[in-house]
Amino acid sequence: MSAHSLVARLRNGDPDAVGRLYDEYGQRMFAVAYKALGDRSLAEEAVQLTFLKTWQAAERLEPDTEIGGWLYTITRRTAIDLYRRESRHTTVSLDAEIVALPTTFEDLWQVWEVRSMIDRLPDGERAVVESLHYKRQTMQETADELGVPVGTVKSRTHRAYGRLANLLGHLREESA
Amino acid sequence: MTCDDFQRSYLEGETTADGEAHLRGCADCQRITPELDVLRARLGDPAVWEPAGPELRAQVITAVVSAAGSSKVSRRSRRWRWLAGAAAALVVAVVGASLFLMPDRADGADWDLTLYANEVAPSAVVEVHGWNTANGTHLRVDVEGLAPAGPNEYYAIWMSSDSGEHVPAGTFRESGQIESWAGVTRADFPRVWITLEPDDGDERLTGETVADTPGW
Repeated sequence: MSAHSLVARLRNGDPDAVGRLYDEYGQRMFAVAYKALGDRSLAEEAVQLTFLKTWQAAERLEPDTEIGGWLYTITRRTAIDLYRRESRHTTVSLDAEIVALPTTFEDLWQVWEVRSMIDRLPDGERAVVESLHYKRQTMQETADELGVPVGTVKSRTHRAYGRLANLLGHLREESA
Repeated sequence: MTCDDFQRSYLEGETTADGEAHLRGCADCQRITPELDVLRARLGDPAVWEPAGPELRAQVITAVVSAAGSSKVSRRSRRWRWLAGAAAALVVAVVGASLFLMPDRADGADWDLTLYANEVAPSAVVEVHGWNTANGTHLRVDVEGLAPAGPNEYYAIWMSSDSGEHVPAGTFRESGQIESWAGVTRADFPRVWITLEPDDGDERLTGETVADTPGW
């Protein structure tokens, strides 16, 4: 289902569209919120609130709204609100600094983009990239964990990197 | 060596003489290598990989379905409020007019408040409903007639104490219903107000007031 038809369904008040949106964007929204807040429970709360806000604003969404960018922005803002809430013991006066997120907007955008690319990898390729980069396992350990030969890990890694570089190129073209 | 070959091997962390020669002569690859560096670094960022809880999807849908139900109730409530106001206006115009100014006490809020809009947004109508919780205050802010914030600004909700302490209580960009929280109580922070803030990464309260609690 296209992003535009999802927006149309949202505007029509179809709650099923929220499930579709979650499937498409939920993990990267969680990644941004988790990066901002550093806490699983708060990050999940941020995702839930973002969907609520999106639902409540659905009638006012333009049909051609770029829903991914919308969700990113609302997730970021909601995370900031929750961060402030959790920092509630630090009250401030008019001319004092208000608590700011420990991460930069650039950090959050990079997490969103990289998670978007990872979401587009086939499961097998995503698993090897996760094992090598996140779990910091060797090729052999990855092969053992996934139950495939080392050669398969290598070929999947090779294809995954090619796909990621290609996706990065497309992102650059889209933003140019 | 093609650009695809170079970029793939660069991501893999391989450095070869062929690759270096390609990079020296390829403007496209020179441009993309900083982004490949960022990508490679981010692939090791735990936030990118941390999985959301398996129950989150169901929780999101439950929350939205619940909100969909309550918004229907809210719309009914508004309709009845309007009808009640209109009927009252037929009997006593002054009483009828006052009904329109009363906040909607839907959903059992602990307190309700109608903010007055100043000359920055004279047509804005802002109703605030508050629920006292163990952690502070849950706010539902109904905003109508407020122009959408520009691309580089946003609206901020604040709660303030008599002594001038200000606590952020949410942000939004356009009219609608906003759910937010503040870690303080209305008893201690009786002033609820809204400012228009520049979206410049500076989180200080620097904007101008657009709506405020009567008496402030």
